[in-house]
Amino acid sequence: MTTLDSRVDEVAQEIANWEAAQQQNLLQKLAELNYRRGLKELSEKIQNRLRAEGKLDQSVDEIFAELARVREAVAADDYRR
Amino acid sequence: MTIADDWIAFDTNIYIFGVRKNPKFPACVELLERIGELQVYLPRQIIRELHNNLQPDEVHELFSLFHRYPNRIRINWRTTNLPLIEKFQQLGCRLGDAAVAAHLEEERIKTLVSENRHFLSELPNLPFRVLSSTAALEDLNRID
Repeated sequence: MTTLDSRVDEVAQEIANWEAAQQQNLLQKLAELNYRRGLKELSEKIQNRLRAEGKLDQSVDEIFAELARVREAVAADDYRR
Repeated sequence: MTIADDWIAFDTNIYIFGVRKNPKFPACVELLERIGELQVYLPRQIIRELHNNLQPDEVHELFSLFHRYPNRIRINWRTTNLPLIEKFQQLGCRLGDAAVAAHLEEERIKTLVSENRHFLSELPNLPFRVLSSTAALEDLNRID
């Protein structure tokens, strides 16, 4: 039975024979897929937290109002003399 | 040329609607997913707003994801130039909007992507253009 490690070795051997540009392409694609998977997991985590706080269905106007409040507070903290 | 060819900035609302996967703003979700195709400048004001709008572990995870694209995402923790902020305030901006505008002018960023359609819309001769997420995505998908 093929173990996962031996499968990884087999795939790595195959990839090692590719052109450098193809290898670079593959690495880029892998990075992109991992980024998207991480972003999806983060979004699910944030949605779960918002659901628990009763904020998942917050209106767009409410979100904008909160963003505007935070913007002023952050700028005041950094720049108000 | 498309927006992929130059440094741009996302307003905080793009990140927030994107990570929340807000169904009213699908273009924010897609722009965030495709951030590796862009060159995104993140100024201190917007970083701090993200820290205030998300939980600490959520911000940590988001920035860990961004660090996968070290050549595509430029993070700047420095405060910006006060006289530039004051210039925008004298033109009628609130302090927070003036800080964002000053950051962008200082770094010569020519495009801000924002869902706030009124963002600085009353100001003449802004040193950058403001695009909605939908317009930014259309521009990104354009084939020259």
